[in-house]
Amino acid sequence: MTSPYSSRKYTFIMLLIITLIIFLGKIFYIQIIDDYYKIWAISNTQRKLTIYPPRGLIIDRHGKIMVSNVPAYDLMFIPYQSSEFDTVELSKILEIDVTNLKKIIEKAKKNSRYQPYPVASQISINIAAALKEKLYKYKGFYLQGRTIRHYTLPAGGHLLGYISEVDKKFLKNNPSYKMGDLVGITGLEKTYEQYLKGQKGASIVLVDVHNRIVGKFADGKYDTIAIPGKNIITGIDWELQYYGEQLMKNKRGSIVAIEPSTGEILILVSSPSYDPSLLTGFSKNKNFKKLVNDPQKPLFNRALMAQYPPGSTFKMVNALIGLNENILKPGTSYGCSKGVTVGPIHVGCHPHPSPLQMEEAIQYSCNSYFTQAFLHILGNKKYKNTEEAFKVWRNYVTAFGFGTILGSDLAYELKGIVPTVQYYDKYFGKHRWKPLTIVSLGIGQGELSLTPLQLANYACILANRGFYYTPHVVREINDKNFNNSKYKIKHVVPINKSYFEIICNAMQKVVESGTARIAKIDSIVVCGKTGTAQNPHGKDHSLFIAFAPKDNPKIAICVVVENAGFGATYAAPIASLIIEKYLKRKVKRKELEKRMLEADLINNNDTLNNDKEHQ
Amino acid sequence: MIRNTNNIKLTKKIDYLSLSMFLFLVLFGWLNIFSCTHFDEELNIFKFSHAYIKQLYWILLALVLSFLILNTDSKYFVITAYLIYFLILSLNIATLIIGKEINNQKAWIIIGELRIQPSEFLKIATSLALAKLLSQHNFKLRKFKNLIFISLIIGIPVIVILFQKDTGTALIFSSFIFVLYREGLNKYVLYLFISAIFLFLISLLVEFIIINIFVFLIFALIYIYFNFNLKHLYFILLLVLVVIFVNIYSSNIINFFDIKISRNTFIFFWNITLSLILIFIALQKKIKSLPILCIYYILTISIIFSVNFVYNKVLLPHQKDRIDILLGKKFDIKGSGYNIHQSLIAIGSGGFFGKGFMKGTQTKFNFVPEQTTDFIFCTIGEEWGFIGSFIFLIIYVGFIFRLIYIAEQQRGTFSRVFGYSLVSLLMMHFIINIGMTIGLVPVIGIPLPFISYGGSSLWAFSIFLFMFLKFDMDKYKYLT
Repeated sequence: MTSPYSSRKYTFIMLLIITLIIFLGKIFYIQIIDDYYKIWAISNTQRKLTIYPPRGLIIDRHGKIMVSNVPAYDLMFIPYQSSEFDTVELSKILEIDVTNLKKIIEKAKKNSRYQPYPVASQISINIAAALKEKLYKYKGFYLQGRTIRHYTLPAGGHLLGYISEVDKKFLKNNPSYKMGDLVGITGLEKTYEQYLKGQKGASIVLVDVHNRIVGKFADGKYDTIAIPGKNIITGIDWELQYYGEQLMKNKRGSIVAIEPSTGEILILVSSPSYDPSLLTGFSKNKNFKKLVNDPQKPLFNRALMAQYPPGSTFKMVNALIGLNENILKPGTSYGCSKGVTVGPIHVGCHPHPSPLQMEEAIQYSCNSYFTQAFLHILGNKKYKNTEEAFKVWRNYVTAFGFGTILGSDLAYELKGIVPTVQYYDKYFGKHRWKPLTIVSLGIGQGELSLTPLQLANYACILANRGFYYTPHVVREINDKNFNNSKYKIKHVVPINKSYFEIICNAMQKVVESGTARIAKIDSIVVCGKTGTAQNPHGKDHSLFIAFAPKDNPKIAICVVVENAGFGATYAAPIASLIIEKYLKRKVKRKELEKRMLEADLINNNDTLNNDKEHQ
Repeated sequence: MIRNTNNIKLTKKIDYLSLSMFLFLVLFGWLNIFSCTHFDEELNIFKFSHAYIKQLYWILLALVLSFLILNTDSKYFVITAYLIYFLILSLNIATLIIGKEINNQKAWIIIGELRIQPSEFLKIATSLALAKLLSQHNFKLRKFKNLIFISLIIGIPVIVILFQKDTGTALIFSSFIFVLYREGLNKYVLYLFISAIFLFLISLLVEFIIINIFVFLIFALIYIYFNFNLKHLYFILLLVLVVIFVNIYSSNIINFFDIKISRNTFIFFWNITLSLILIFIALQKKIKSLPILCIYYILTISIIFSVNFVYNKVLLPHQKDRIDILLGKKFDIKGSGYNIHQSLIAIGSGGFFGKGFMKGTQTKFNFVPEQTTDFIFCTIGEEWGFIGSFIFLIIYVGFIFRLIYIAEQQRGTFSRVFGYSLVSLLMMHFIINIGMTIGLVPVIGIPLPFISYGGSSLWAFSIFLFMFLKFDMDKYKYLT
C-alpha cells in the first residue's frame, strides 16, 4: 500500500540532483577551469631553494688569493607560512634585539606575503647550527646557505670594496636581482660584479605543513646548479698592499703604486682604512654604521677622491712644456735669492746655490726658477695672447691625465682640477688676467688639484719617458665577455722623449743629493720628486712621486701624507720603503721602517712638530 | 500488527545493491584515509598508532555489528525504540559530566583506547523514537499536540548536543524536517525553511542588481507558466527588457538625473514602482493572478534589500568580515579561512584525472586540517581528480536514491520513517560536508558518513543502515 504523500519523494530526488549538479559544477570549475588553486598547491608544497654561487676569487699578481669565501647562512622568512612564534627566543639565538627582530618581521610582511625575506643575513655557522635544531618551532623560516667574503689579509678595503644586500632602488633598475642577493657596492666588487657574482642555481624541494623538507621535487629534475663567479687576476701585490697600509697607519693620506710598463696598479692605499672583513657577516650593518660615523672617514677613498695641489711635484710638467715649446733649454738658468719677486708677487724659496740650471732647479726644487719659467711659457710670443698660450699649456697638462677621469677600473674616480680659460675669465673677467695673476700654477699651487691616482700615473709617464697605460687593477678574467683592450692603449704625451731623459736625470739627483735624500736605497736608482701641498686648513700635505729603477722602471709611486709638512718628512721615506719592499722583497732600513710604522699623525701631533725640528 | 502465517516465507534477501554500495563507500573511504596517513613506514596491522589501521578495525567491527543486526528480528527495534531513545539520551547527558573535552567539545567518552561520540548514536535513537511516534495508530501529524511531541523528541537531543558544544551535529538534526515533510507536514514549512536559507545567503553573495534581475525573471516565468498567452508573453518580454535595461544602466540614470541616492536604493524603488503600476494595470484589466504575484515579488526584493541594507549600513566592519569569511566572499587564508582555502587548493590541484592514489601532496603533507575526518573529500578530489570525484558523488547520491527507493517500498510507517530519517541525515551530511569542502557552505564540522575517519560515525551509520535493511528484509511481516 502506498502512503498518501509518496509523491514527495521527488522533492528529495530533485534536491539531491540539484545539489549534485551544483557540486559537480563547482568541482569542475576549481579542478579544470581555474588555475588559481594549482598554483597555490605548488607554492604550498614546493619551495624553491636558491643555491647561491660563491663569488669569484680575487687573486694578486703573484697568484696569492686576496679574497676567498667562507660558508654562512641567511635566515629567510616567508610570511604567509608563518604562525605565532617566540620572538624572544629567536632574538636570543640570533643575538639581536627583540624590537629589532619584530621590526624586520613587519618589514618582511610588508614586502610580500609570499616572497622569502632575509631576516638575518650571513649568520655564522655556529649560530646557524643552534638555529637548525629549533627551526621546527618557527614556521615559515628556513636557512639559506650563503658564502661570505674572506680576506686573507686585513687590507685592501678601499681597493676591493664591499658587497651588500640589494635594496629596493637597486632592484627597480636591475630586475635580474632578487631580494637578498648581494651586489658589489664599491671597489673591484662593484666594477667586476658581473664576473664575480656567478650564476644562481635553484633546487626545488617538497615541504610539508610543518616546514620540513620531505624530499626533492621530481628527483631534482628541475634543479639547476649554481655556477661560481669567475676568478679575477689582478696586478695587485697583496703583501705590498698590506705593508703600505701598515706604513700609513695613523696617518691620513694615500699611496698609489703602478707598474709603468703595463699600467697595472700595484697597491692602492687610502688611510685611514678599515679591515674589509668588518663589512662581511652578521655584524656588517653595525660595523658599517660605525665606519660611516667615524670622524676620520675611513670609508672615504682618498686615493681616488681626495684632490691635492701637486706642489713641487708639478715642476717637471712645466719643465717639460718649457723644453718642448723651446722656451727653456737644459742650460737655461734663473737666479734665486731665497725667492723671487715678480711684479707685486714674491715667491719664497729655500736656501740653495744660485743661479740654477734646470736639473739643479729640480734637484733643489727651486721656486724662483719655475715661477719665472712659467711666466715665460705663458708669455710665449708664438701665441697672440695669454689666453692662447694658456690653452696650449693646458693641453699639455691634460695630456698627462690631469683634469680628466683616467678611466681606471675603480669606481668613483674624480678628475681633479686643472683650471680653464673660461674659469679665469669668469673669476677675473675677460682679458683681466695675466700670466702673473696665475703664476702659482708654475709651482703646482693655486687652482690646481690632482688625485693621488693621477699623480701616480704622472710618475708612470715620467718613468716611461712620455707615455702611460690607463691605470687598472685587473689583469685577466677567464671570461669571453672580458675585454681590457682599453688598458692596452698607449697614451703618448706630445712631448719629445729626449726631454724626459733630462727630467729623469734631475729626479735621480733629487734622491741622490737633493731634497729627498732620505728616499735613497742601496743598489737601486730611485728617481723622485718631493712636493709640499699648501693647505689653507692646517699643516701642509707631504707629497712624493717616484719611480725605480731609473732604467726599465718597475714601479712608479705617489705618496700623499696629509698635514705632514714637507714632502721629504713622511711621503718620501714611505715611498722609498714601498719601492724597496717591492723590488727587494725585504726592507733593510729597519730604523726608518720602524719610525714610519710608529709615526702617529692623527692622535699625536707632537711627533709632527718633533720631526719638523729634526728636519 | 505482525502477521503470522506458517506457509509463506515472510523474509526476503538483503538488498544487495545498497549492501554493495555500502561496502564500496566504506572501502573507498578507507583507501583515502590510508592514502593520506600512510607514509613509507612498514605495514603492521597491530600498530594502532596509524589512523588507517584503526579505521580498518572500526570497519571490521562495524561489519560484525551489522551481521548481528541482520540476525536480530526487526520487531525488537520497534518494541525497544523508546527505551533505546532514553538510554542513548541518558548516555549523552552523562557525557556532559563524565565525558572528555576534545577540540572544545564535551562530546566524547573515553574507554581505554576507544573514543566514542554518543551523539552519533543519538541520530539512530531519535529516528527510532520518531518512527515509533509517527507509526502510532491513527496518528495525525498536523495535530498541534502531536507537533509538540515531535518537537520534544527532536528538540531534547538537539539541546543536549548543544550543551556538548557540538553545533555541527545539532544542526544536522534539522534534517528531520525532511522526514516530517515526507510524512505530510505542510509543504510550505519546508519551502520556507529552504528559501529562507537560500535567500539570506544569496542576497549577501550576489550583487543586488543581478539578484534583482534574476528574481524578476523568475516571477516573469512563473506568470507566463500559469497564464500562457502570446499577448502576455510579448508584454512580459518587453517588461523584462525594460527592467534589465534600467538595472544595468542604473548608475548612468542616477548620474543623468543627478539623484542623491545609492544605486541599490534607486533600483529597489524603481522595481517597486514598476510592480505597483503593474498591480494597477492588472486590477484595471482584471487579471487575477498578477497582483498576488507582484506582492510576492515586492516582498521578496524587500527582504533582499533589507538584508543588503543591514549588511552594508548597520553591521560594523568586523561583523561584516565574519559574514564575508563565512560566505567565502573574503578569504582570511591564515585565520578562519585557512581550512577552506587549503581544502580548495587540494581539490583544485587535482585536475581532471587527479594526482593518483597516494600521490596527493596537499593532503599527504598535512596542509588540510581534519583531512581524514571532515575534509576527507579533499583527498578524493586531489588524488582522483574530477573524474574520480564525479563517479564518487554519483555513487553516493545513487546510494541515497536507492535508500529512498527502499524506504518507499516499506509497508509500515515505522520502517518508512526510519528509512527516511537515514536518507535525510545522509543527505544533510552530504550537502553540508561536500559543500563546505568545496567552499559552497560555511565550515561546519561534520563528517561524511561511511567515508570519514572515525569509529562512532561509521558504527552509528552502519548500524542505522543495517537496521533499515533488516526492516526491509522483514517488510512483509508488517501490515501497514
